[in-house]
Amino acid sequence: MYGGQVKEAGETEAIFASPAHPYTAGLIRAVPRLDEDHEVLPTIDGEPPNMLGLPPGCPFSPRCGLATERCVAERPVRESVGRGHSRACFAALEEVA
Amino acid sequence: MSQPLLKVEHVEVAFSVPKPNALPWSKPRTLRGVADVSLELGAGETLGIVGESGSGKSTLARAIIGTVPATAGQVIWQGDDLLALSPAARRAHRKDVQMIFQDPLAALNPRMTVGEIIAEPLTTHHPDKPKAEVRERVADLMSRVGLLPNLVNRYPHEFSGGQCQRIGIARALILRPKLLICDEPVSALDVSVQAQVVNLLKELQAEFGLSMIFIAHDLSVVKHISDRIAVMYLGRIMETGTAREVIETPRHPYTRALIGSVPVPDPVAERERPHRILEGELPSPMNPPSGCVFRTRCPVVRDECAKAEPGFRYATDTHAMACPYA
Repeated sequence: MYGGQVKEAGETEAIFASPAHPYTAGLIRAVPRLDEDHEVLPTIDGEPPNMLGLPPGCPFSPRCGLATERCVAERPVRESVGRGHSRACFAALEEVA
Repeated sequence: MSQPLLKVEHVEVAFSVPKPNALPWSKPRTLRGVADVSLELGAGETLGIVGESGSGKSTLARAIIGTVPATAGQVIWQGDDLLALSPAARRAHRKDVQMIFQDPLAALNPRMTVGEIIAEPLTTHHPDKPKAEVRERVADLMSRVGLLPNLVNRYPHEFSGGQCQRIGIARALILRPKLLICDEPVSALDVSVQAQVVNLLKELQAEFGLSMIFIAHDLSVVKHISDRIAVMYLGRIMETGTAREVIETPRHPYTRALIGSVPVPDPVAERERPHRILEGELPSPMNPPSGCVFRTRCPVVRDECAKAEPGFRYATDTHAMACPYA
């Protein structure tokens, strides 16, 4: 969930193996791990959303590396991306790593 | 290491705890929050302290900064024993050691503006500093820690947890301390923001030449920021070494159990990984086990472990563990 909206839903393994939303992917990357070495830890830039002033489009768009003008203006609706796996995002699936 | 900045020698912090429903003249029991801890910190170095809740990490930090009196041992700061100094002389040292806390919002006065909060240490220690200079220092630091200087007149509740922690960091740095003690600074923050604060602390440390003591229960966070790590259990150090030594070649069974219990964010790998679960609870520090305090939960315990408290054994010059069998 992000900004009061379900951004991605699916089976646990599918979410971790191939996250379909940039926020999910960012969260998984941001978990510090013992088995990785980073000079600078991967983060999601910016701050959690201010619920009193959500942008008209996707609430994650101010922090999203893949955000376009459309994301700022229009709120994506959750759509299926596979069996039991859905997401609310305009970015191409291949772009979300 | 040349002359260490801070030397903690055989520090003990004991609290006296009255027995419940006891008669007023009966002797109170003692709780040793920190039993016998020695460590050293060099200039510009980061020491990570890890351990479960109740292991004495925060109490040790408070004994170093002086908010909780050490009941035995020495805290030597640049050659001076802090516990033997007069209160006035101690005050001069306080500027050099600053602290940031776990709950970033609770650590800020809700009725002061961000500007007042950050400036407070400066105006306390240097009451005659010109106001314009104070304002300039505050604005400089705010932008350095990633806060917009035009938010200077806002109140803490208007900020997110991560921003509040940045305010706490700015307040801690305004006196240009030599040592920054971070007590679980990211444990209360959102995962997406945790790493931002760790990265910021690392940058500031390099920029200001700070020494840091970084206390956390999350080993993976500690690993990323520390040069050396000390593992605490029930008020004692179980293992210490460089971050690499402790994480990659842990020797003490407690350190191994801690590392084994760090989850991996991958459900498939997590299911296949052997879990060495640490059984039982932390024993009461009021009534610690005889001999090695870890023996009641140790997977490789022997009869001898109950007899005497083990001393340190060295695997390398820097890597020591309080277990004769590790």
